[in-house]
Amino acid sequence: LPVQTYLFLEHSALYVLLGWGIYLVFRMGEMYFAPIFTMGLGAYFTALALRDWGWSYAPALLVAVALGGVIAFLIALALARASGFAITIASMAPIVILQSIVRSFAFLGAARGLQGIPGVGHLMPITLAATSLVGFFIYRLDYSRIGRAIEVISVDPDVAATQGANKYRISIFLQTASGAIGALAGAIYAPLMRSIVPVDFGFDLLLNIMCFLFVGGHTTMWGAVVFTPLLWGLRLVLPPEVVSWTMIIYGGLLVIIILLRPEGVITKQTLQSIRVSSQALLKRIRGLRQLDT
Amino acid sequence: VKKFIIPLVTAAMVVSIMFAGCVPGAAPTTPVTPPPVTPPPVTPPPVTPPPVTPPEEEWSWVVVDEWKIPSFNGVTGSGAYWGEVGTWVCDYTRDLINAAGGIAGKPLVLDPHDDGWDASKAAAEISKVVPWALTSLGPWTDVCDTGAMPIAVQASMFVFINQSGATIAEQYQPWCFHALDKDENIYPQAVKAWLKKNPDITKVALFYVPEHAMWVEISNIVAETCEEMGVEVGARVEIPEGTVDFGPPAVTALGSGADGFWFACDPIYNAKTVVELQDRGLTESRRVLIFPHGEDPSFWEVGQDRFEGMYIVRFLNSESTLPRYVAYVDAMTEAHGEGPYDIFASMVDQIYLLKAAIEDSKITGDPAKLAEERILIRDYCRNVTDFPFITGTASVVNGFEHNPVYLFQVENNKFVLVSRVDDEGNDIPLD
Repeated sequence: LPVQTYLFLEHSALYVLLGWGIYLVFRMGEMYFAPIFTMGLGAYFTALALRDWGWSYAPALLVAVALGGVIAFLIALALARASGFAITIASMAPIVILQSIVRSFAFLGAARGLQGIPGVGHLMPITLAATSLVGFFIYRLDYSRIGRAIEVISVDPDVAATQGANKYRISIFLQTASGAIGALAGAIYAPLMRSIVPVDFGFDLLLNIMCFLFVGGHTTMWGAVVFTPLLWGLRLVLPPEVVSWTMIIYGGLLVIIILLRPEGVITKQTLQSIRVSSQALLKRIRGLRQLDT
Repeated sequence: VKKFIIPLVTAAMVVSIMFAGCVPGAAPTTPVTPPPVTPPPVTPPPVTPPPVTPPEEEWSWVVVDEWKIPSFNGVTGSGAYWGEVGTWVCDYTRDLINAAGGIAGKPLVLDPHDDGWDASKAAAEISKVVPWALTSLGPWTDVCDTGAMPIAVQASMFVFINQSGATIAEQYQPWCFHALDKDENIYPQAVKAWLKKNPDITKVALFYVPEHAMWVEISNIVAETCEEMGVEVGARVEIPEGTVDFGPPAVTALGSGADGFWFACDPIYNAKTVVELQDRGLTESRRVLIFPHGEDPSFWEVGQDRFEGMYIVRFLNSESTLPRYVAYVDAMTEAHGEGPYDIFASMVDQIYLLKAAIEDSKITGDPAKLAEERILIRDYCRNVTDFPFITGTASVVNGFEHNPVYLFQVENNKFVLVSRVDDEGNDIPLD
């Protein structure tokens, strides 16, 4: 693949993963930013494992994901009972904490970051496989019993409780999964970029992801899938004079979408109408075939 | 509701533009009023144009109609002001070169890219150019280079990273040119000279922006030098990007008992923190030393008349009277008003170095020879002896330009050359 296409696909997949990480917990109505923090965690762990400890990629990736999940789980034990706003604030704090910790330790590269991270062969298929796997997990979750419970919790937690949905446990589960997804993104990011610095995992990244998710649609997993490559790809196709305006385009789009279509471009109704019209089309094709025969 | 949508969207767009930072053509965030300045007591010598390119037949080996070279400047994001001025300097140099016959008889065309001061954006932008570019002018910030350089190295493309930081440049040798000597060849000398000129300083506080690796590394070297000189380091004070209240950092520094202050922060942060220090008892600005990137128009805007005696480290002589430099300063002043010129002067230098590399190495520009010619440019630019840079001749050794170290001090609201210093911080007589 040409390097530009390669990077575009890799970055798109990473941002889709992060978007899903935030989407997963937001389904319960809670804004949870820890995937950015666990991405940093996963990236630093993978970088050290590959560069300094001589690990091969497979165990480094798996342990990084597990580490992200475990850390998110531990944080979730405290956070899961908190209200929505408290979760938002509390999940932002680890982003700053991670950056401060990294800057304070020389073995983490301090402010200079870690350079010379070995590349990984077949990173593209690994990324696509990992993204597909996570996508499949979220898709199944959306239509599972837990998924329906999450939906009820987001509408009315009290009603959900009377139906037997345990908000605390579900919240822990979602935050843990979200943390692991963030760490997975980090474990891919480190060998992709081959160098990482603490500011890579900061608020600029968070704002980009929020824009992709909220423009695309935060009520289904498909909003991030469709709009992340579209919006990220903008800067690759726009002429140089316009590329500088990308952030303004993002900001403007976000404002317009929030005003005109608060749930984002792709909503559940959009999916439903696509489903209905595709079924009608299929029926018509089948009818025409029967007429032919 | 619809009645309100259009005005609301318009208002929101305006707000988003404000939040999105500067854009090309936008003014720096702080309104710039040039401080009262005494013009240098120098009659500019007649400007001699740069060396004129020989007739076209001499360049018969060139196969391209123009030299298209990517140029990276972050014209959005946290350092948009620097990117904007950097773009101007690149365009200025391109015009000079083209007016004198171009490079090897063909015009230089710059292909501008905005890296947004962000690693991922820089990576995306450099991925556009590695398939075809001979070399690249920038990215030239540490964060952007961590994103872009691995891709450039993988493609075996030499990059002029200008002043991204010596430690970053070392990581990516032999694939980059750094327009500044290694930190250990600049800062210890400057700090020693400052301490020797101010022997009553006994304890130093270090201010730096933690997000910039280069600035943190420099501050570490300053701390080591202070200790070597028997001066205690009182406090290391971080001033993160986005800080709005500079009182607490000032209090922390003064609370540590420091009587000398080192700054490696954004210019406006330097200025605001010094003002806070002064409001809390600092009376002599000679106790302050700032690093080379620590000054811009906003610095003077905040400081007004309060910085008399303050020191700054420089690696180019901004009082140079060489005709090319004087012409550059005049053009810069006309375009941007008062500002730090020496930092950007190295951007002029690196484009002239590239010109020399293309002409002397007989680069053809033939896409079929891209890989081979990238190596030729690299090998030429990494080791050059006595190259006529804009403020004087200097050599490049293994990708690092060897610069002299200068100490300047504020006099009548302007940094005035105090001395050129040697390795031990002693004054070297000026030519």
